[in-house]
Amino acid sequence: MIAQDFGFFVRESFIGMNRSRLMTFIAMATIAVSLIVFGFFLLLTVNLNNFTSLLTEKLEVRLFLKHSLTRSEIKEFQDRIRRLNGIKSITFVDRDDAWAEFQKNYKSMGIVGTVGKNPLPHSISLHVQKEAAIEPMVSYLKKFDYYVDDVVYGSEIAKRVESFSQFAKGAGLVLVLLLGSSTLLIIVNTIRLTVLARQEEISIMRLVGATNLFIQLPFLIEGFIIGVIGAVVAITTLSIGYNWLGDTIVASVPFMPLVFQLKQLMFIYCIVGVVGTFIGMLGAFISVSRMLRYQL
Amino acid sequence: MIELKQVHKNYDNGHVALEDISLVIGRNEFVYLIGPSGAGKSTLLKLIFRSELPTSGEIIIDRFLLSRIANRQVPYLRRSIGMIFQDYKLLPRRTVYENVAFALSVMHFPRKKIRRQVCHVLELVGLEQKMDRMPHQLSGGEQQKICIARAIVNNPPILLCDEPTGNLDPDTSWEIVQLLTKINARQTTVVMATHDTEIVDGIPKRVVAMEKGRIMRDQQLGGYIE
Ligand SMILES: Nc1ncnc2c1ncn2[C@@H]1O[C@H](COP(=O)(O)OP(=O)(O)OP(=O)(O)O)[C@@H](O)[C@H]1O
Ligand SMILES: [Mg+2]
Repeated sequence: MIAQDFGFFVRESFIGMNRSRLMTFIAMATIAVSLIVFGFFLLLTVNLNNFTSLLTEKLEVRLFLKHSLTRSEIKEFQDRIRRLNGIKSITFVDRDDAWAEFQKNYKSMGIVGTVGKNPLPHSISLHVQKEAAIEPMVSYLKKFDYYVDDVVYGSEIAKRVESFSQFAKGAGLVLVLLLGSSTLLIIVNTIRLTVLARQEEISIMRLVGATNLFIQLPFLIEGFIIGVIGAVVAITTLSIGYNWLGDTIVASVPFMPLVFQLKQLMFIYCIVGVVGTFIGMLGAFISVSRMLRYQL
Repeated sequence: MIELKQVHKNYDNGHVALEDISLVIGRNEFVYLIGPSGAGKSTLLKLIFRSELPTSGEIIIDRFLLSRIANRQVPYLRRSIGMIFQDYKLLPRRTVYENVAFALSVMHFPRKKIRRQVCHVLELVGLEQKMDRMPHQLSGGEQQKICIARAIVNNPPILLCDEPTGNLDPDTSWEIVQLLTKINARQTTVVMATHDTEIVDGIPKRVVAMEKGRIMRDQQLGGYIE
């Protein structure tokens, strides 16, 4: 019964939107812009998360060993570390290799000549499994002061990336909430205008025995359509924009670990679509339930 | 069919529009509601239609006890009452056909049935040739006929008419009232508020005469003047 009325409702809602064209357009544009910002922050968050986890993976802890150690002592120490929890990998770096590497890297700077003899100690390079485990691991390793001269790790960079991504997420959340509520307000007002423009029709509908649901449905559908169109525009813009921006970034910074997995991107675009549709319908619902309470 | 028990109606501004009205209208009756301007005829019809609520008293329509029904049941009450308004209340941007079909869409009739019933009722009022016109392309009498068509398209047991001949010339008025008696003959209770002496005298029916919110006379086959 309701199904065969569906065409009727959709037609009614298009008539309504056509009557307040400008407002409907503004509502669609606002919802699209807000969703683009929302989607942008989702993409940013995914990329930052990806980046931090890659960084953690790459984070190296370097143990510089005491000069006095014998080969067998080093071997024994290596075995002890390997058995610790939370260690992903460890590699022994011979001082001669390190020195050769250093000389190769800094040949142009002219330091090599002034130093002459190899000043570097043997060292162990190790990677932890989780970034959070790095600090306690380092302070634990420092306690082996019979073996370990110094421990060096890239904690500062990791901390900065982490705190930047926290900040970006917080700012994004605030911005998205602000935009979301103002979008909602605009949609509520748009639907209110179409309701006002149709007051006469609505009162006649009541006179011939229309139920409230019947009167409200075209407006709810209108909100739904505004939301869907806004979302489609936003998703199109986001996917084109992200691909373009991604290509540009990768072209200049080739090792930038951007997320291009279709599955992850699809998931984000789906969230954007669902949120857009939901805001459209919520706006219509608020407007309609405030304006179309039962009147005689 | 329609029963009013000691109904009083005071408007918000304190105006007393109806005082102690008790009235019983049986199934398939035809009743003229007459009286001078401001007597309370429209108010009485609005109370029956529940677009106004009585200050006190009880109104019983068919199986509905009006003081008891919830707001969300009002649409269903209205589906059993057709109402013809003095100012037509047609949708200006819809065709004649759509204006009538609208009333059935609201009641979730299937499309085929809507088509059949709308065509049938437009034939009855003699407007089947003009069903694609807009209301403003029709004369007053024709617009009144659309209202009648819309009011009876779902065969409600009750038809309320508020001065259906108010703005029409005598010939058209006759035509409209002939139509209403025809509808009355099809098992429909008709209550018609009117000032039209010629019609009340020309087609004698039960007359309920009001004055200053009270019923002054209730007479079978009465005339406009006692
Ligand atoms: N909404 C309202 N608020 C206040 N007073 C009203 C309202 N509607 C009608 N009245 C008053 O109630 C009285 C009865 O009005 P009503 O419309 O029922 O008269 P009527 O008999 O239909 O008159 P007419 O023949 O002119 O249509 C009038 O004096 C009118 O001024
Ligand atoms: Mg009146």
